[in-house]
Parts: sequence; C-alpha cells; structure tokens
Amino acid sequence: MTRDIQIHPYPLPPIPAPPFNALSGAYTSFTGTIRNSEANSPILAIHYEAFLPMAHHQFHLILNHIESTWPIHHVAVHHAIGRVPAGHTSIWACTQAAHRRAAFAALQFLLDRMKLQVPIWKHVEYEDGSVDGGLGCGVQPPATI
Amino acid sequence: MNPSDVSIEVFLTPDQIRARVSELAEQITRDYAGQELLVVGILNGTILFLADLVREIQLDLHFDFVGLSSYRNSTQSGSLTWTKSLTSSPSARHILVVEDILDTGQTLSAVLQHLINLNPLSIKSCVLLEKMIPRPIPIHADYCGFHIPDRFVVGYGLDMAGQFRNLPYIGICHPISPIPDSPDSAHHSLLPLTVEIQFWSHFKSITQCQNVRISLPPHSTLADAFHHVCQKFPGLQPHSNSCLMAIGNEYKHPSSPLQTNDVISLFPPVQGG
Repeated sequence: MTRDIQIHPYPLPPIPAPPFNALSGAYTSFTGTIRNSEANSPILAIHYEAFLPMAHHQFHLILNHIESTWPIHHVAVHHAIGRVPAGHTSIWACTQAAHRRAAFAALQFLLDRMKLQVPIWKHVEYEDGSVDGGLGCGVQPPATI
Repeated sequence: MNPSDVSIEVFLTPDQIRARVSELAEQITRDYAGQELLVVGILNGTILFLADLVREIQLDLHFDFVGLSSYRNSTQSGSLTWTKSLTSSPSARHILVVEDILDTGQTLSAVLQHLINLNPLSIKSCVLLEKMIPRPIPIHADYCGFHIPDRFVVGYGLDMAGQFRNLPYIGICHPISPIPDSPDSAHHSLLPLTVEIQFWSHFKSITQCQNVRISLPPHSTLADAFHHVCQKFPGLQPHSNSCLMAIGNEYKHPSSPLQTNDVISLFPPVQGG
C-alpha cells in the first residue's frame, strides 16, 4: 500500500490524480470544507494547529491498521494547517482498492480515527476578528515538519 | 484501587447519557430501516445501556445476551471466561452487538469473532464508551456513545469489583489515599528526573507558554508530572479528565513511568478535519 500523508500550510496543494494501478477498480475521495458558521455563529475562518511529528506518526498508525485490515492499494490524506477561510478545503483524503467496499470502509475509518487520535486542533475566527483560545499567547505552530 | 477507598467524580450526567443514547438509537433506526435486528448484549455491564437503547430504536427487534467475563472480581483485565451463550440463532440475521465499554477490545473482539462464525447476515457493534488508548487488538465500534480518556469509570452498568453498577451517572474513580511507594523502589536510581512538558491548543492559553522543564522525584509517572504542572498552572486542573497525554509521539497511560529528558505533551481532545 502506498501512502501520501501531508500536513500542509493552507492552501493545500492541488488534488493529485489517482496513481495508475490496473488492479484498482475503486477510487474514493473525501473533501472537507469550512462551514460559514459554528454553533449558529457566523465565522470567517478556522485556524488549525498541529503537533506535527506526532500527527504524522498517528496518521501512520491509522494507515498501518488500514493496511492490515483492508486490501487497499493507496491512501492519501492532506490536512491544512494555519488559517483556512470559510468555504475552503481543510482536508482531502482518498483510498484506492480493487473493490468499492474496502475503499469506502478504509476511507471512513481513516477520517473517524483522525478525529480521535491525530493531534490537530481548531481555533475559530469570528466575524469581529476574534479567535477563540489557543493562539492568544502568541505561539504559532511550526509551519512544516 | 478497591471500592472501599475511592471517591467517584461525576463524568457523564444522566441527562448527557440519555441524550446520546437517543442519538445512537436514531442513527441505528435510520441505518437498519425496514430490517429486523437481533441485539446481542454482553453481560453484565451492558444491561442498563441496552435497556435504554432498545426502547428508543424504532425497528422490529429481538434481544439476547452472551456472558463473557474478563475482570473476574478485580479491576485488572485477565483471561476470558464464557458464562452464557446465545439462546437464539444469529444465522442469517442482522446482528448488533452492544457493549458497555471498549477498553482493551478483548471482550468485544472475542464476541464478534464467535458470532461471525455463526453466519449472520451482517454484524455491527455499538459501545457506550470507547477509551482513547492504543489497542493490542485493532478494533473499533461502528456506533460509539462517548470517547473517553483512559480512566477507571463506574456506574450506569459499569462496576468496580461488582459495585457501583446502579449509579445513574458515569463517574471516574479516584483513589482516596496516595498509593505508597513500592518496596522495590529503593533498588532503582534515586536521582531526580528532569522532563520537558509541551502544551498544545487551549492549554497554551491557560499556561501562557508552550513548554516548561520540570524536575520530579525519582520513579515519577506521567500522572505525577500532570499534577506537578497543575500546581504551577491551576487553570489546567479542570481539564484533568479530558487531558490527553503523550510521551514523544505516543499516547501513554497516566501510570507510565517517566525517564529523564522525556518530552511530554499535554493537550485537549483533538479536532482535525
């Protein structure tokens, strides 16, 4: 199984074409974008903060599990960090397999597990420019690993 | 810990549990629309959760139980013993296995494996609580009520040595008296430990810094390090139940021993996506 894990300052790089594999009959992908409201309050953007070495490591652990559970040929996950404006993409992920069931199941598992164990956090920027906790102390997350 | 010397802190209130159980039931009702379901509960801890859950599932369903004991009247996971098998046949039926807590995954995994061998039409699992820990057995529940940190929890069916199952809430057990040093400790190094602690997300706002170096007595654990920084930054204390802890890039149990120069990370639940 090939892997493409990127935790990348916004904007994410263009979505790559699926790698050619004549054995792969199924390609599934997911694109997550920032909604323009959070808990009924209009928002301008979400700032994502990541603990990069651990986030990469935890993505690898999730992909190890996928590799041992489903017959998947390729997995990619690209997560944006920094300020992502409403309406723009914060995450893109894909899976490629011989058949659709495995591809769907692995993609769903990847996204569900990410929300549990990959150390990435949100900070919401409201219409008045205020940003909720976390970034208020002037510490910026490192831009790249 | 044993039941006579713990204090129990409320972690999930009856209202929080009720609301989440309703959501799970709605989701299950939607997912199995038009189909008949055999709900299999794992005794004993699951009965309160199962009773509340099935009353809100709007489907034709039957329920049955399996008994599988791993705790054997103590609080340490041990080997599994079957105490009750199914009375109905799961063959060619949609099965939903209901479990109170996904901890090591040993029990749920054994039940799923057993039922898969009996040729059901489909099989899914629903747990009220899933501990956020690395598992030796790769397993996750299809439906999960709450993801919780790695603490000893009781109530709403969950027990400590048979007690506390009838609490209407889910609580976290704290030992009342400090655990005495083990007699072995004299054989280990007596040098103090120096570790670095990194704070992430909202914890940085609380501490107003990204990291600190602290010295701890020899044989200190991750939990000791957390208590130490809580004294320095009391604003962290209210987050003790939801705080995630890592050493290096790995999640670790609060009882994990520390070594000098360990880099510890403390952070709130993650929110990627």
